[in-house]
Amino acid sequence: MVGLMSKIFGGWIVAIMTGMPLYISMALAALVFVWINGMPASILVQKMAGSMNSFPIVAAPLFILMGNILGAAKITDRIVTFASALIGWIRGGYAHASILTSIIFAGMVGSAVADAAGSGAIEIRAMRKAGYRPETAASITAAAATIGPIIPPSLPMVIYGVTADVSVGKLFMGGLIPGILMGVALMLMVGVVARREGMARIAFAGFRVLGRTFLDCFFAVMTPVVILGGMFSGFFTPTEAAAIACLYALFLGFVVYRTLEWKHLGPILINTAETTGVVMVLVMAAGAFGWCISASRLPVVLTPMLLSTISSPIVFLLIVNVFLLIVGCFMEALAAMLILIPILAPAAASYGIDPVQFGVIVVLNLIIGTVTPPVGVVLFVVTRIAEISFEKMARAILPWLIPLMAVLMGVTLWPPLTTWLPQFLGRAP
Amino acid sequence: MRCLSKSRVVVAFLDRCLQVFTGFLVLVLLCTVTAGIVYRAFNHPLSWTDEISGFLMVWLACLGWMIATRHGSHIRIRLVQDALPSSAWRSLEIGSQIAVAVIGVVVAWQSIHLIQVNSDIEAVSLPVSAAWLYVPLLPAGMLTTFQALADMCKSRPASAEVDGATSW
Repeated sequence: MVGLMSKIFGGWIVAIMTGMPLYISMALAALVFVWINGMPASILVQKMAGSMNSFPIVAAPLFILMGNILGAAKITDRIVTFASALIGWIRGGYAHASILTSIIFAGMVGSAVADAAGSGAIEIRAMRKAGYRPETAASITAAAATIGPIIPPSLPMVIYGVTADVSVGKLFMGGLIPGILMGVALMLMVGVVARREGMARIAFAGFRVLGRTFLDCFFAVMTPVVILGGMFSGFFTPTEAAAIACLYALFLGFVVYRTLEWKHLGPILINTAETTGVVMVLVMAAGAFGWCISASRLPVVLTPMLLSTISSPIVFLLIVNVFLLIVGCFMEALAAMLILIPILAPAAASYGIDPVQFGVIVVLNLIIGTVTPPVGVVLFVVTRIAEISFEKMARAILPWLIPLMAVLMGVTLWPPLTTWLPQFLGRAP
Repeated sequence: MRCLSKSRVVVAFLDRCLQVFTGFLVLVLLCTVTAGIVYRAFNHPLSWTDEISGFLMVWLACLGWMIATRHGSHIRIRLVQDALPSSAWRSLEIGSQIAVAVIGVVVAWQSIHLIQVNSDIEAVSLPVSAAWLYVPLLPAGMLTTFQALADMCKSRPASAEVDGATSW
């Protein structure tokens, strides 16, 4: 069965490259496996439905809904204005403000694409107006967008947690410090580039303006506090936190900022349903394919092989990093995560690696993959927003991968970066 | 010609119904989870919220899958396909759509089997049959097949390196 699964795996990758919808390629691979082994095909459909029938996965559509509500409420402008007033006076101020905006935005939406699309246009326009090179502005925006799925709430972490059976709450907490470090590392990089390229800064507008812009976006900035506060206090689970966050987002849009109208609600709900469909059908197909991988005993055979050839957990993690970074260059992050979790997570557990640390490493690797060519979803989005060629963008992003890689190395080599906060708070659901 | 335009109107109406119903399900899901929190806060925890959320999630995923199928927004990596000449592109596309149709048929057919098998099994905390869990897979599989058959005749779209992935 292991040999068969290896061949199916190869066929699956070829199917992806032919342009077949990803969920179909996974379902087809699973179908071939059960057909060759004489198993009933109904088991696949049962696994597909079973992968949706769980309470933790409900957090995914609710976080998507929250992101859509906040997007429609147009609160991005307020956050950009506040971030510019707070740190825009440093050399390369617009770039620093862009990164800070992404950090704040990351606490509201759980996706890198949503971050890039939501605040990217405003940030890139501001940077270009200030004389920044278009590709530099686009690269900073793209690199900063990767913070989105690392700082909670995070859609990839919800899916990782459900698939690998790891506490979503602990994963959220595990991502907080690395997410902030990514922002800091990118700002340090901006500091270096700003000197070289003579990037402009924004004149400090005074504490009164700073205070006013802060009050203007205060309730929006409180979104992560509401989500994390409720979870850390043990008052509600990540799924319930997502529901509360949706209600809070509606409160912001309808009551606080009054930027939402009833007519917006229909498109928001329909858009949420469609995005949920796009993501969840992949999770469903991966549920079926993942079951086939387990049934083939591939992880059981692979883990002892790995243990006999690699004895050090650090070496294992470094190899996983290289592997996932290469995979991330060629494959869409969600699909890669869903397929690789059933193989990699048991191996990591056998090395005694903390599941939260491993979860953050996997998500971080694959999210870096969204800004690496040739298949970098965030790169595609930002390229379109900035109206520059993909080739230019692919070259310009390379230096900005250094700070992200540095944080990845830190998370790999020093587990407390991801495990300390969940252990310290300890009451995560 | 008139028949064709009438059928387009019917399809557009069905699309709208699907969107409205699925959007309503999102709202129901939000209300269900919220009800669980509120009732627990008042020391009257509800026993059925987790289970109904699971049922709603299956329905929402399947109906969302149908909307995405209608809009052609499922994730596809078309980098290699788009680099090919038109004839090779068309062959690959037909092959892909055949695979989509096969999966659609399997899902629809097997869901009928699962509905039959589970029809007399009752859910744990709800007075409904466990078969409701598999009901949305039937229309999802059928629509996937029909859409694949229709898409086989579609012409080459403008290049989009990774379809659908930009929506999440």
